[in-house]
Amino acid sequence: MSGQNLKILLVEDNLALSGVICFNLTRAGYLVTAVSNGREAIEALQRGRFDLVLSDQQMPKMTGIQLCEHIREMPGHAQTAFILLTAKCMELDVAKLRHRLGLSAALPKPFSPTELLTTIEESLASKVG
Amino acid sequence: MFTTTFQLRLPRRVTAYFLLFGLTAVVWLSASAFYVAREVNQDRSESTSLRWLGRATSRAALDYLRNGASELQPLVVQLKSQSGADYVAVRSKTGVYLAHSSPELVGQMADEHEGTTDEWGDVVRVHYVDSQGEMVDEYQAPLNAGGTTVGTLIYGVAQPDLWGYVRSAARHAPLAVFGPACCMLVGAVLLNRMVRPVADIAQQLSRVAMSPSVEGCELRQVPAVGAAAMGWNRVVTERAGRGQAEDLGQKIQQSLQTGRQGRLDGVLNSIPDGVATTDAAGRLTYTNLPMAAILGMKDIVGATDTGPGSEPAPQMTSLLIEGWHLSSNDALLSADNQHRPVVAELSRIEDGQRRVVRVARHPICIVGGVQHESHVWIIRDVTQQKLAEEMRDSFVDTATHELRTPLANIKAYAETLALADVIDVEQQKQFLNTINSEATRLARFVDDLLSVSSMEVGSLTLNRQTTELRRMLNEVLAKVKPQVEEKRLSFEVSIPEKMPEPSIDKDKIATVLINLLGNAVKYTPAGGRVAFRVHAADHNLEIDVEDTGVGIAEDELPKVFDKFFRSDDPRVQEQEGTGLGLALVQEVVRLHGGRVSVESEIDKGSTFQIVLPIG
Repeated sequence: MSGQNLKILLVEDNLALSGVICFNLTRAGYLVTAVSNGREAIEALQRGRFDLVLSDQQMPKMTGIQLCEHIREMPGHAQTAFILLTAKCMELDVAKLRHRLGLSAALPKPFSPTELLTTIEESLASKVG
Repeated sequence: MFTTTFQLRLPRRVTAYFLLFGLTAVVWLSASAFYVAREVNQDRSESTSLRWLGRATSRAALDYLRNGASELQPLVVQLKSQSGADYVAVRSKTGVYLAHSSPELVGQMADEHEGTTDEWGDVVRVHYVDSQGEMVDEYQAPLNAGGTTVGTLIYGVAQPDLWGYVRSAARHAPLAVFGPACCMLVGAVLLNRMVRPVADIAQQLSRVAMSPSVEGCELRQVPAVGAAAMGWNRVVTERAGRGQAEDLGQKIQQSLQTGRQGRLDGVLNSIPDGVATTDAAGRLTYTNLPMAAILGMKDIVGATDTGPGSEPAPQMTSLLIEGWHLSSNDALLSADNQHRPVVAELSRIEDGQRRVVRVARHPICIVGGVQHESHVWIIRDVTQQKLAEEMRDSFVDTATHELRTPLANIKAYAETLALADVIDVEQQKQFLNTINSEATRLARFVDDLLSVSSMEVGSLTLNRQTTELRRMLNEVLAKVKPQVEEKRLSFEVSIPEKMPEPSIDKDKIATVLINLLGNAVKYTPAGGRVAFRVHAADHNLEIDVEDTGVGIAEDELPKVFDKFFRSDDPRVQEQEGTGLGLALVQEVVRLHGGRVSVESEIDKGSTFQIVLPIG
C-alpha cells in the first residue's frame, strides 16, 4: 500500500463523512486521526507529527482556512501538506491560497474516495519531491 | 420674400428714417410758411383793399343819406374791425375828419401825406411812410351821396413788414409747429427704438472688452427688436444654458425662495435620499435635509451660503473621507472618473449598528450632452437592503452546505461500497443506512426550500382535510422522540383526552409542530426539559412548546420569524439550520387564520404558542 506509516489528521465536523473517509484512508494504509473541529486539530498537532492535514472548510468556530493559517504559524508545521475539503471551491481563489498558505490542494464536495486518495498521494509526493 | 427684401442694414435704415421724417417736417414747415405769407399778404393786397374800399364807400353813402354825417363814426370803427385796414376815415371836403377809426382825430384837420400816387378814375392811392417809418397805402375814394360829393372815404393799409409776418406766424404757430414737432418726435422714438438694442449690446461688449475674463462677464438680453438683438439674445441664452449646470444649486435655491418655493423645497427634503450638488472645485452648492443629516452637517447648504464674505462650502469628498471613511484610492476620488457616473458603498458604525449608504455621483449634463465639472450626488441609506442581502447570502451559504453535505456523504458511501472488494455485511448495512438517512435529510431540506419558495411567491396553499388530531400529534411525537432520547431531555407531553377533529392541512401543521419541537430539542442542552402542551378550547386549539434551552436575546426576539434569520448566539451558530423553520411556521399558521407568539429569556428558555381557530 502507498500510504504505509504516513500519518493523516482528518478534521471534519460531519461524522458520517468523517467515518467514510477514515474507512477509505485506513484501507489505503494511512494512519488516520479524526477530529471534529479546529481546536481539536491544533491540540492533536501539538501532541504529535502529521504528514498531512485533511480539513473541511465549513466548520463551526474555525474554518479550514483559519485552521491552515494557524497551523502555518506553529513551529515545525510550515511545510505540512494541507488539503481543504470544500463545498464552495468556485468561490475560493485556490491559486492564491496555494501561494499564501502553501495549500496543497482543494477538493470540491461531493468527491469520490478515489479522487481523494489520488489527491492525497499527489500532495505527499510533491512534498517529498 | 417681402421681409427679406425690406430688411435694410441699420445705417441705411437710420438714414432713411432720418430723411423721411426730416423731409416731412421741412415740407410741413414750408407749407405753414406759405400759408402765413399768403394770409398776411392777402389782407393787405391791392385788390382786397379796393374791394373793401368799394364796399365801405357804398355803405358810408347809404348811412350818410339815411342818418347824416353823425352816424359815420360807428361805421368806420366797424369797417376797420371787419377789414384788414389799419385805419378807416371819412374826410369832409374841407379837409376835416368827419369820422375816424381813431375817434380822437374826429374834427381835426386831415394830414396830407407825401408819397407816390396812383390813380384809377376817381380812386387815388397814396403810398407814403408814416411817422413811425411804416409803409402805408392809403386808398381814397369820393363819398357820393345823392349825386353830390360829401367827402372822401379813406382806407389806410400798412404794408406787410417783418413784424406783420411774425404776428401772423405767431397766430398760426400751434399748427405750423405742432405738425413738424410730431413728425420729429415720432421719428426720434422710432430711431431710438432701433438703436437702443445696438447700444445695449455695444455697452455690454465694451464691458467684456475691459473685463479680465469673458466668462466672468454677466451678459443680459436686450429687447428683441431687429436681427442684431435677436442674434444677441440667442448668444446670451446659449451661454446662460452652458452656465446653467454650474448654477444648478443656485437655481434650486433661488426657485426655493420664490414662487413654488414650498413645494420644491418640500419635495427635495421629503425624499429619503440625500441630494447634493457640487461645483467644479467639488464644493457643495446645495444639499437637502437628508443629505445634511447623512453628512453630519449642522445646516443645509444653499446658494446664498456661498456668497462672498461667508466661508466657502465644504468639499463633498472631504466630508465623506472624514465621516464615512472614504478611502483615498476610491473610484470617487479618481480624476479619470470625473466625467462618468460613479457608485460607491460606504459604511460606518452608528450607535453600535452598522449603517451602509450607497453614494452615486453623476456629472451634470445640460441639453446637448456637454459635460461640466459640476456633479449631482445622491446618497441612499441601504442598511436594511444590505442586511437583507447579507441574510440571503448567508442562506445561500447555508443551503449550499446543506445540499452538498448529504450529497457528499451519499457519494462517498456509495462509491466506497462499489469499490471496496472486501467489506463485511454488517459494515455494508451501516453504510446503506447512512446513505438512507442522508437522502432523507436532503429530501427534507428540499421540501423546506420548496415551501419557502412558495412563501416567497405567495403561492403556499392549504390542503384542508378533517384531521384526527390525536393521531397526527402522536405521529409528530414519534418523529421527535429519538432526538429527545439522544439528548436525554425530560419530555412533558400534555394532550387532552377528548380532541376535536378540525379541518386543517394536516401535513403542514405536522411540519410546523416538528419544526417547533425540533428547535426546542436542538437548542436545549442535554439534561434539559421540553414540554408539549395542547389545550382545546371552544373555538381555538392552543399548542405550547416550552423548553429550558439557550433562549433568545431581547433584541433578536422580533426577528425570529423572519426568513433566513439566524441568531448571532454562538450556541445557535454551532447548530445546523437554515433560518427557514420559524418563517414557515408563521406562514402556515397565518394561512390557517391563527397566530404564533413567542416568549423567551436568554439562558432560561423559550415558549412558542400557536393558536389555531377550529370553529
